[in-house]
Formats: sequence, structure tokens, C-alpha cells
Amino acid sequence: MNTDAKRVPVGVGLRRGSLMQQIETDHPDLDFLEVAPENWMRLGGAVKRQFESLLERYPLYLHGLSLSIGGPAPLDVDFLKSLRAFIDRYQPVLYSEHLSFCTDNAHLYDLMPIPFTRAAVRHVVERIHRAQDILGQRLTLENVSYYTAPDAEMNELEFLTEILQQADCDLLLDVNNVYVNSVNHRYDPVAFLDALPVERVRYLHVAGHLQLSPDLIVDTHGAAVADPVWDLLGHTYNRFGAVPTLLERDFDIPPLADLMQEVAQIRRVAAGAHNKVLEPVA
Amino acid sequence: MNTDFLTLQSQFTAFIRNPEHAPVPEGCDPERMKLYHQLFFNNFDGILENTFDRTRAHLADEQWQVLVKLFFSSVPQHSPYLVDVPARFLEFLQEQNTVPLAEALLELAAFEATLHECRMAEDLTLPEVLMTSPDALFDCAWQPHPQGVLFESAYPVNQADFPLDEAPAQPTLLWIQRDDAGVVQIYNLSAASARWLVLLDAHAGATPNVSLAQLAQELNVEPDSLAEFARAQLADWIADGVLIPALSYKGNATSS
Repeated sequence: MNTDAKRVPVGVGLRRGSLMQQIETDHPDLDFLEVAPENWMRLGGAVKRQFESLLERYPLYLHGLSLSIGGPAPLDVDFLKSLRAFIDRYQPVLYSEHLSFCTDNAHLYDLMPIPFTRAAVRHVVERIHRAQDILGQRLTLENVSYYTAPDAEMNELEFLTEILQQADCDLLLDVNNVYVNSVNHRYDPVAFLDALPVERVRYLHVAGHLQLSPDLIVDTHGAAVADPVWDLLGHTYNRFGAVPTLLERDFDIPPLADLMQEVAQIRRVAAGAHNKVLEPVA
Repeated sequence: MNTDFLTLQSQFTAFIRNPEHAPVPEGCDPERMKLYHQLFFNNFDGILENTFDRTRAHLADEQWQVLVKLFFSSVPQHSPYLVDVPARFLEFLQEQNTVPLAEALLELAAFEATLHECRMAEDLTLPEVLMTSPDALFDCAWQPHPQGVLFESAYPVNQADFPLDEAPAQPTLLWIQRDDAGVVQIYNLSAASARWLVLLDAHAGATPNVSLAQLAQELNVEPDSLAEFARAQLADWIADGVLIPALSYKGNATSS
């Protein structure tokens, strides 16, 4: 476990299968594990025992998929209550979700951009308050990647900061998503980062992506972190400090040793970010 | 812009579900909307291919694509859990007639869906079995494990590459259950064994002699003639965890 107060806490996503077995066997030098609660809430059998055994060694972060905080249908209160029970049982350090929608009248199980309108801001803020009431904690929401979006009244940055301010919630800053969106929608990623409220950033994600063309990147989580994202991560640590950081890898997951090289790279980037002493964000 | 955001959301999802019959949402790039459709569709297709890999292998690519596209575009998913999608797909396969499927293929799909369900099932809190003496087997009440499934098919769906066009004379009877290591085990049953499991479940508050007597009556044989079969079968089932102490029976000295 990480006992160095100057070192950024870094984790990886826990996936059933070989990665889980490697973590069980090797006990890698990770500061936490992240899971999608939807994939673990109805656990049973041996995998549940393995999960609980790992939690004796590693703190848990939760990163949800199905809340659909920007969705048009009413919030799924039964689901939120089940989620609350899961949170109460496993006491994660943090529960985060996506600032997106993944439903209309039914689930589509992937993320879509909420139209950047003022009415949508009000809609989302109201739902954040309701979800926070049921969960008994502040929400931490992720800026999502997107490839195209409907006509809008605001830009992505205005939409995001307006929701953070009005809902008084926190931000999971996905650095890869900032880069992906900056290419897909032609903006300056550094200026985007510099405009975000420092005090709201509680958690970082970095991941690999797939560049389909000079102006289109898909957020695949299926490759190593790209060089421009490493650069942007350095700038992120400069601005926001040693915020706990997840290395996201959902597809084509390499051996644990390869993932740990990227974990080490994250720590090097954080350590070299600037001269000021980095203190982990609580 | 004049369109409210809820309408924009509706346009967005409608295109993702069925790009051939929905307009591109206002302000969106048509090519990138197609990318959205493909990414979302691939997510569905991925879990369905993983769950129904043997069923999928019996179908032409075009048939599979038609089925998954129709399912994706027309069947609403109300569960927040992606792992529930295969069960809905099985229902869809059984109801749809766009791509006629052989009865054997539908039964194979049901078998694969059952394996998936067993793999993903939540735990139940159950008593541990502390059996010591084989003589005590018939003094306690047993019931089938509530997370096991008695699966019956006209086809040997558990065998790779079984012929789809002709059902054997005897049905295939299986008990499907996840073991302690998390592996889904499949036990072949005789007709008598399968029937006894059903009777054990129906008489879960009674000792096995009660269900065995009924089985003997149904088979038109003396109960004593089944004693050897019953003792061996009971011991195997208890060792494999197929039977557990009956939850409703108070006299089980052998459970904790």
C-alpha cells in the first residue's frame, strides 16, 4: 500500500477473469481498486469471496454506469436504493458516475452527451440533488467523451461548470476525455482544464483511445495511454495536485506487469509535475 | 436552437437504436451518429455473442445480424444491469418469427442462457452441510439447491455439435449449478433421478423416504428395490451440493 504522503494514489479497474487472478496472486503496488457497482452488486459464489478478500487489502472506489443522471425518464429509485445498500456494505472511498445519459425509456448501456442547454442543466441539477439524498453523499460526476452533440445553447465547459456550481457536486476529471473532446470538437484542452474549479476535482481518470482520423478519436479504453494525454496529465497535476488517479483499461487488457508500468508512469508524471509538494486530496 | 432538450435526447436515442428509420438529430454529424450506433450495437452484440456463442455459430452472419439488430432496435431493456440482457434476448428469440429458428436451436439458446444465469447468480444464505454418517442420509430432510436448475430438452444440448434435425428417443435431463469454485457444473440425470429431484423439492419438509415411496409408486416398483440406487444417488447429490438440508425442516441435526 502507498504510505508516501507525497505520492499520488493510483488504482486500476478490477475486472473478473485473469486480471483479478493476477491481482490476487501478485498483490501489486496499487493504492485502490475501482469497480462498476452494476457489475458487482449482485455477486455470488467464488467471485464474491475473491472480491471481498481483495477489499481487505485495497480501498475501493466505485464508478457507476447506469444512473443516467441526465436521462429523460424518472430516476430509478429502486436501483439507487440497491446502490446505497452496496455502498453501505462495502464503504468505498468514493462513488462516481457520468455526466451523461444512457437511457430514454429504457437502457442503452452506454453514454450519450446531454444536450448543452439551460433547461438540461436545471433537469440534471434537480436529479443530482435527488440522487444525493437517496445515496446520502455528494455525487462525483465525470466529464464524458462525445463524438457529436445536438444543437446547444452552451459549450461543454459552460455546461459542466454550471452543473458543478448549481448542484454543488464534485468532478471526476477524465483527462483522456478532455483530450478526446478537444480533438473531436476543436478546442484547447489546456484552456479547458484551466477553467475548471480546482476545489471540485476529487478524482482523475486516464485511459487509452483510438484515433480514427485527424479530427476523430474514440474513447475505447482499449490501448495504452497516448503521449498527448500524458502531457495533459502533467498539466492536470500542476493545476489540481495529487488527485487520486485511475488507469482505465476495459478492453484488450494486457498482463498486470504492463499495466503496472503505466501505473508507474502516472506516479512519475505526478512526481515531476512541478516543484511544489503534492499532497493527496482527501 | 428551438428544440427542447428532451426532444433532442429522444432524437438521439432513436437514431442510435435504428439509424435506417430515424432522422439525424438536429445539429449532429451524420457520420458520427453512425459511429454512436455502431458502438452501442457492438456493446449489445458483444454480450450476446459471449452468452450464446454456440447458438451464434449455427447461424449465418446475416441471420445473427438481423436478429440482434431487431432486438436492439425494438426490445426495451428496463434493467440497469447489462447481464440481464441475455435473458431478454432468449425471450425475444422464442417470440420472433423474422428469422425462423429450429426447435433444437431455441433449446440450445435456452441452455446457454441458463448457464449464463447460473454463472451470474447472487448468493443465498444457506446452511452448511456437515454430514458424517451415510446412515443418516435418510434421517434428514433434503431439498435441491435453490440456485440449481433442472433443465429438460428434447435435444442433447450439453453435447457439442449435436444434430439439430432429429431429436433422440429420450429427452436430455440436466441439473445445472454453480459450484464453490464458481464453475457452472452440469450433471446428467436419468429420468428417475430427475423425477426424484422434483419430488424431493415437492416434499422438502420430509425425509427422502417420502419422496422415494412416491417415486416407487410412479415407477410401479417396490420401494426396497430402489434402496441401492437411492442411497448412492443421495450421497452423490449431497457431496456435489445438489441437495442441501431442507430449509423448512426443523429436525436436521446434520446442518448448521
